[in-house]
Amino acid sequence: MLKWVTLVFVAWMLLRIFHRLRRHELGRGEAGGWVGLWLVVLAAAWFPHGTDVVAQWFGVGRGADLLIFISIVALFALVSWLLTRVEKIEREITIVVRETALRDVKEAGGRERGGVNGGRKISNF
Amino acid sequence: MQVVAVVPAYNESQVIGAAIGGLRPFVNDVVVVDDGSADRTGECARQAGAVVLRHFINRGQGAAIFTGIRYALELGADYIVTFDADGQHRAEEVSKLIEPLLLGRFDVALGSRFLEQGRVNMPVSRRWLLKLAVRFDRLRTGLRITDTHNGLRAFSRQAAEKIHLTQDRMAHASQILDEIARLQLRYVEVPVKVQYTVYTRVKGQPGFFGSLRILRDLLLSRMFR
Repeated sequence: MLKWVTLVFVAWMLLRIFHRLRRHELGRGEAGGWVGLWLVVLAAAWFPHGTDVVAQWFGVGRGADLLIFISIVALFALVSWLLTRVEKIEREITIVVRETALRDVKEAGGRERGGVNGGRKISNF
Repeated sequence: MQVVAVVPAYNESQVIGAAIGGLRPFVNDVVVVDDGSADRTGECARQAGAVVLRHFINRGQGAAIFTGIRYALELGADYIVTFDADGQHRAEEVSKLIEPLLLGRFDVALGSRFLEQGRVNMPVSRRWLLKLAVRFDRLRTGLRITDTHNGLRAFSRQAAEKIHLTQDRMAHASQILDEIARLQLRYVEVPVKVQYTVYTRVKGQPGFFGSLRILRDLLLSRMFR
């Protein structure tokens, strides 16, 4: 049963990839990478013992364990990539907000509006 | 000599006027950075006589301070003082912070609550958190400091031009120490009093979870610089 569900899901994902490729939303290299990944998923579902052989190469007993191990590493990599992106975007937002504030106050002639002592005197030194 | 106070403010309409009024005799200009407040903070600050810059969305105290410093430099400030809006600092102590800079022996003056015995009146939990933060910042930066996360500081123009802040939230206080160490700025701590009221306790410095967030921000910025 799981084999057939996986087959339908992978077929649907492959269709999406080809669709995005035709609309030039994906590059050929990126599309090839995604197709390769989903074919590996399909192969793992249809030939579960085949993953055991690959697992042996890495010194892991079962293919299922290897898949979990790879998934955890991939998730860590994804989280760290996302954090980097978020950090970068946060900094860029701050720059935009800051530059807007500085531009606005200059346009409004900041000192003429406020300026506690008009920059003219200071009494306590 | 041009002294400019930079006051970051977020929803401080109740107290911002008094803070600016207190600062007026001691500085040439007060620059308030309204950090996306939902109340009348900016309007109150303008009425009290400050130059007001507005962040159109909230970006945090560190971001607001750096915006204020940038504008103070454009105003031609010789000395820049950072001052909290919530009324915990005493405006008359601004002069004490500027004095060591005037002599040209120091680039940065940092306010410290812990320099004189018997002067600190703060909740025990906050005291322990701050002591821990001081140890941590000493270890990281190698600076011999007694207080950290004290919003009352003064910079010479030369120092303010060199310092670059990327920490938008509360971790900016630790980043200022990082910058002092990195740029080898000459710094001095000056004893100051911090007034803890119900308002400052609610609005004021971070508690335990706030401290964890500062730690997270510092670690993240090192990992993903």
